[in-house]
Amino acid sequence: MTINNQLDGNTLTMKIEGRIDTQTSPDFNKEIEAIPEAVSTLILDFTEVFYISSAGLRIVLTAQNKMNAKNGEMIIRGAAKNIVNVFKVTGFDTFLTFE
Amino acid sequence: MKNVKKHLFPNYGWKKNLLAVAVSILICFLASVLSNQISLVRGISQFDLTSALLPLFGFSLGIWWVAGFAIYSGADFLFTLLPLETGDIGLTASVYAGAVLPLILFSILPAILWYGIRLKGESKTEYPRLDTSAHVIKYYLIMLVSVAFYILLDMITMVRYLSMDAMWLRIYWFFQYLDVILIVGIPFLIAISMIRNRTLTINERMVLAFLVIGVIAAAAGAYFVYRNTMYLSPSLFEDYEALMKPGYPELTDDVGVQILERYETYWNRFYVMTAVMLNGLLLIEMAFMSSIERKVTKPVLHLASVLEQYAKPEGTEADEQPAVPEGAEADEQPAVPEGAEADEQPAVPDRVESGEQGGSTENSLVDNASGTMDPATIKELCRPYRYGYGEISSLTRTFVNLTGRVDTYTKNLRQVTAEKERIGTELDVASKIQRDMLPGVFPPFPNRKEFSLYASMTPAKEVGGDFYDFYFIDEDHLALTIADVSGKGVPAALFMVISKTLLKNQAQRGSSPKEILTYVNHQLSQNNETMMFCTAWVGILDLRDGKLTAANAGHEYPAVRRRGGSFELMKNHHGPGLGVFDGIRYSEYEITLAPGDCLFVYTDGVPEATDASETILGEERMVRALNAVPDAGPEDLIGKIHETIRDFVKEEPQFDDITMLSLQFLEMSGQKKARETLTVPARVENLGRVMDFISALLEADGCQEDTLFSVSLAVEEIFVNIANYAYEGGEGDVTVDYSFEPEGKLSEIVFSDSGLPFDPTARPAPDITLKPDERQIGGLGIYIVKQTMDEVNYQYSGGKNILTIRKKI
Repeated sequence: MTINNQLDGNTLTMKIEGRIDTQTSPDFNKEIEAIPEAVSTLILDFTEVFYISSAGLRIVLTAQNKMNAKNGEMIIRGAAKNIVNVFKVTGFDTFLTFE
Repeated sequence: MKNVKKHLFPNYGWKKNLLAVAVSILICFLASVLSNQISLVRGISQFDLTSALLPLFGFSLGIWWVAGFAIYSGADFLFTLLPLETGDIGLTASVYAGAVLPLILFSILPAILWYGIRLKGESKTEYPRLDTSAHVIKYYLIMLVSVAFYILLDMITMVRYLSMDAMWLRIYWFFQYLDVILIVGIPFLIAISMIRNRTLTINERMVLAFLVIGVIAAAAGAYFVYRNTMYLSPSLFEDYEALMKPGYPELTDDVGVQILERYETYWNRFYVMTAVMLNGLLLIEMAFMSSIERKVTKPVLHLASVLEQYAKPEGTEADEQPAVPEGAEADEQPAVPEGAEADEQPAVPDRVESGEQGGSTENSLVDNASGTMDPATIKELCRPYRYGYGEISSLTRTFVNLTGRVDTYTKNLRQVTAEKERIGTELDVASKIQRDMLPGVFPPFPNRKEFSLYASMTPAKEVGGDFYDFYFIDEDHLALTIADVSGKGVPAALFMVISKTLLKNQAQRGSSPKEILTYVNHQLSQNNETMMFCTAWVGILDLRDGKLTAANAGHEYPAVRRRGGSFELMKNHHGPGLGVFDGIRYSEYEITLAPGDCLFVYTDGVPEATDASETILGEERMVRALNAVPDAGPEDLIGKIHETIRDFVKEEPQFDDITMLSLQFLEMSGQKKARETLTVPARVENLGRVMDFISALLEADGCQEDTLFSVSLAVEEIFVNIANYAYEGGEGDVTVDYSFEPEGKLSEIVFSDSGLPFDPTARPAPDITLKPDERQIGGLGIYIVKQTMDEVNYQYSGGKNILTIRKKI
C-alpha cells in the first residue's frame, strides 16, 4: 500500500493504492493522524484500493470522526463496488460520503 | 323337633303319599299272610311280622307307611276278629283303639327317638343307618326302649280284657319283637344304606356278619331247645305235626293241653334264647367295633382328612401363606383338633352324599385362607394320635415328620427357584444390554454413499463373547471390528465389554490398527488372572481411496471379493489373541478396495458350526456359500451364511455365537473432494501466506473476483482474530484446511487452533445504525464474515477451536 497526499488549500486529497488490511492499516492510520489541523475537507481517493478489511474500516471510521469533530467533511472517491459493499455491510454507508 | 317332623312326615306329593299308603297296606297284608303261614299255633307261636315291621316303617319310610298299617290293621281287626262275637260297635271300636293305637305309637316312637336324639358329633341326624358302632348302639337302644314301651302300653290297654297268663305272654312278645326287629331290621337298614351309598362301611359289614352268626347260633340253639322240649317225646311230636295242619282239632283233651304247654314252653324258650344270642352277639359286635373305631377307624379317617387337606393342590393364594401372622394361626389351632375330631367320625364316610357335613369339617380343618396347612397346624391336628406305641401312633408320627420335611423341602425349593428366576432375569437383562452395545440399526449411515454395511450376532447361550463394531473415526475413516472372547456366559460378556470399549477408544484417538491392537493387548494383559483372551480383527477403511488398513490378533481370516470375482480368504499375517502375552507388537497390512469390492469377516462360530455327525462346516464350505450368491450385497451374504448354517447343522443346538460383518465398498469419497491444509504459527505476519494459499486454491477452483474478495476478507478477519487473541501472547499454530466440492461448487475453509476456547459467532452483532462517533471499534470483522459467507459455524472439539466457513463460488 502506498499513500500520496496532495494538499490544496484546506482540501487534502489522500490517494491510496493497494490493500488496506491488518498489516497495512497502521500506516494508513499514521497518515490520518498526521492530517494538518487546517484541513477541512478530506478526500480519500480509493480508486486504486482493491481490498479493505475491518482494520481498514476502523481507520476510515477514525478519519470520519476526526473530520466531524472539526466540522469538516470527508469524501470517499472512486471506491470499487466490492469496497462499497463492505461499507454497506457494516453500515458505514450511512455516514460516509461517496463521490 | 323340626328334624323329627321332616323325616316322620315326608311329603312326596299327594299321589306318592297315597301310593306309599297303598304299598304299605299291601306289605302289611303279605307280612300278615307270611307270619300266619309260619305261625304254628296262633296266639302262641305267632310270629307277628306285621307288628314287628311297624317301627321300621315309621323309622325309615315315614307316616304314610304307618297310615297304611293302621288302615290294614283296622280292617283286619274288624273283619276277622271282633264283630262276630259282640256286635257292639262301641266296644269293638274301643278294643280296636286299644290294640291299634299302641301299635301306631310303637311305629312312630323309634323315628322320634332316632331323629330327636343327636349323638355327640352329629351335626344333623341323618336317616337311620348302622355305619358306625355309635349308630348301632343308638338303633339297638331305641328299639329296646320302643319294644318295651309298646309291650307296656299294650299291657296297660289290654289289662281289662286279658288273663294273667296272656299278660305274661307279653314278656315273651318283648323278646319276639326284639328278635324280629333285629333280624329283619338290620338287613333292612343295611339294604337301604347300600342303595343310597352303593357301598357299605366296615361297621355295616360287621353288623351283618354278626347278625348271620347270631341267626346261625340261634338256629343251633333252637335245635338244642327243641331237642330238650319236643324231641324227647316223638309221639307228641307227631301230634304236633298234626296240629300244624289247617283246621286243626280242638285242643281240649289232655294230650292237646300237654302238647300246647310243651309247645308254648318251646317257643317261649326259643324267643328268649334267640334274643339272648342275637343281643349278646350284637353287644359283642358293638363293643368290638367301637373299640376298632376308637383305635383305628377314627384315627385313620382323621389322618386321611388331614392328609386330604394337606395334599390339596395349592391355590393361587398359597404364596401368601408366609404372610399370615403366626399369632392368628396359633389362636385357632387349639380349637381345631377337638372340633375336627368330633365332626370327623360321622362326616368322613358320608362324604359322598352328605356334602354339607363334609364341608363343615373342611372349614374347621383349614383354618385360614391359604390352601395348605403348615406343619405346625398338622402337628396340632394330629396331636390326639401322636403319642403311644400303637401302629396308628407310629403312622401319625411318621406323617407329621413327613409333612415337616416336605415343608422344609418346599421352602428350600421355592427359595432356590426364586433365586434362579432372579438370576435368569438378570442374565436376560445383561444379554439385552450386551446386544444393545452392538450397533444394530441398518443401514447404519444412510447418507454415506461410499459403502454398504451389514452385521449380525446370534448368541448361543444367554450371553456370549462375540462382538462386532463399526464407527467413523473421522469423516473419511471407517473403523471395522470383529472379535471373539474366549469362553461363554457372564465372564465372556464382561471381558467383551472391556475389549470393545478399549478397542473403540483407542481407534477414536486416531491410532492405526496395529497401534490399537498393541495398546489393547497391553491393557488386557494387565491383571489378567483368569487368562481370558479375545481374538480380534480391526480394519480402518479410508473412504477416499478404499485403502483398508487392518491388523489381526488371532482372529479368522477375512474374505474379500473383488468386483466381478469371488471370495477368497486373505491369509495375512496375524498375531496372538489379545490379553495373552503382554508386550506384543502387532503388525498391519493393507488391502485396497476398489468400488464394488466386498469384505466379509466372521467369528469361528461360522466355520465351526457342527452338524449331528460332528462335522464342522469349515472355511471351504463357507467360502463356497458366499460365492453361491455372486453379486450379493452384505445383507444377502450374511443371510445366505445363516441359511447355509441352518441347513448344515439341522436340529443340532448352536454351541457358539455366530457373528458376521460384511462391507461392500461402493465409491471413493476422495474422487469428489480435494483437501489442502496449511499450518502456520498464529501470528499476523503469516496473514500473507494464508491469503496466498487460499487465493491460489480459490482461483484454481474457478473463483470469481467478487467472491474471492469476500472470502479473502473473511479469511483475513478470522485469521487475524486467531493470531491476536487465541494464544494470549503465547505461541501456537493455526491450521487452515481448504476443500472444494465441485458438484455444488462449495468451498469450505476450516480454521483450527488449540488456543483458548472462544466462539466468535456468539458475539453480538454491532449496531450498524449508530452514528460514527458512537460506533464501537471491535466486532466488525466477524460481523462481516457472518454477513458475507453462506455458512459459518463454530465448534470446540478435541481441545480445538474449529471454525468452518462455506461459500459457494
